[in-house]
Amino acid sequence: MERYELLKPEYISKVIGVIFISIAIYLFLMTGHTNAGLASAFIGIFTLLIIHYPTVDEDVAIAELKSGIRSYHNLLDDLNLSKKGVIIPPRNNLTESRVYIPAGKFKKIPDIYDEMTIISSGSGRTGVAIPSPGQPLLEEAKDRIEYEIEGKGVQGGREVMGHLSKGMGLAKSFSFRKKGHDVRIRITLDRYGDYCKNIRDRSPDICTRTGCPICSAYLTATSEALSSPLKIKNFEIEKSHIKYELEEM
Amino acid sequence: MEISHKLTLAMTIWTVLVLTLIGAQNTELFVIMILIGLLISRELSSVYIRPSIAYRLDAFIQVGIVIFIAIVMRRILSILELL
Repeated sequence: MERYELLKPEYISKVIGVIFISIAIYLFLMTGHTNAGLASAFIGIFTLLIIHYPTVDEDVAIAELKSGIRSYHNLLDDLNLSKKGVIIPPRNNLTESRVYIPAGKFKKIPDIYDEMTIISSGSGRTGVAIPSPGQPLLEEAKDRIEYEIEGKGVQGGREVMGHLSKGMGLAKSFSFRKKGHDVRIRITLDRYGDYCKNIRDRSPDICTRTGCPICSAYLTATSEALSSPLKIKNFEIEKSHIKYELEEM
Repeated sequence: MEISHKLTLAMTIWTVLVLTLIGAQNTELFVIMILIGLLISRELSSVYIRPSIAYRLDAFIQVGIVIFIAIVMRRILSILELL
């Protein structure tokens, strides 16, 4: 059904703002209610300038998130790699977080550079190192909090995860715990639960290899906050809770 | 509900509440109370809002602070009987 241009939410908020400003002008010019006029002017200007509507519909954004990760994993499925990935934070010659997916068993992470995607450094150290699917979401959260999380430990991780959950609405809540080298993350999904299930149904290995963009944002935040590579050890789903067990390497 | 909508709703409720409590009597107090509301909402929402909204909110606060300084200056001048 075609919507009238003026009934779009972004225009409705502007119309409300203009109505309040008109009332304020009336109160200032025609009556002696200065405070009421000020209140009306303030509400009007605040409504006009502060109310923000996303420019992309949520359905379109979700479809876009799905298309990226699906094509990623279609490629990985053909390479016959291990089912468990390692999230690597920026270090040495690597300037952005990557997910290393080894081909078979491995003991040590090979040296990874920005320009390397296919890794073949001998002695069984072969695999792929792809940019973390959740990196753009994490970058957005970091830009918003204007706070560097690299090496800030559990507290820094919780700070940015709080923004991913409450600020960006990616999850209802989260829990991030570290004991020795073991790290546990629990993400409770809310409105993106169906998206997560849909991705999982199509590519069952997605969660243990890289995670979908939402889970990957949390995993990458953990790795960057702890400044150490994290191997995905275990993954569980319990109703709307997603649980990851990771190991510091 | 978007965070900007919650912010606008909260400030509208605060403004109406302050207007109800103060009425038409004291414009200076009314403006200062609005500024306090703005400062509280900026502080509480700082982690969750987009930088673009934060800049706009800061602009409101800067205008409020200028008005607040003017009110204080006026009071000082009236106490010193220079006004």
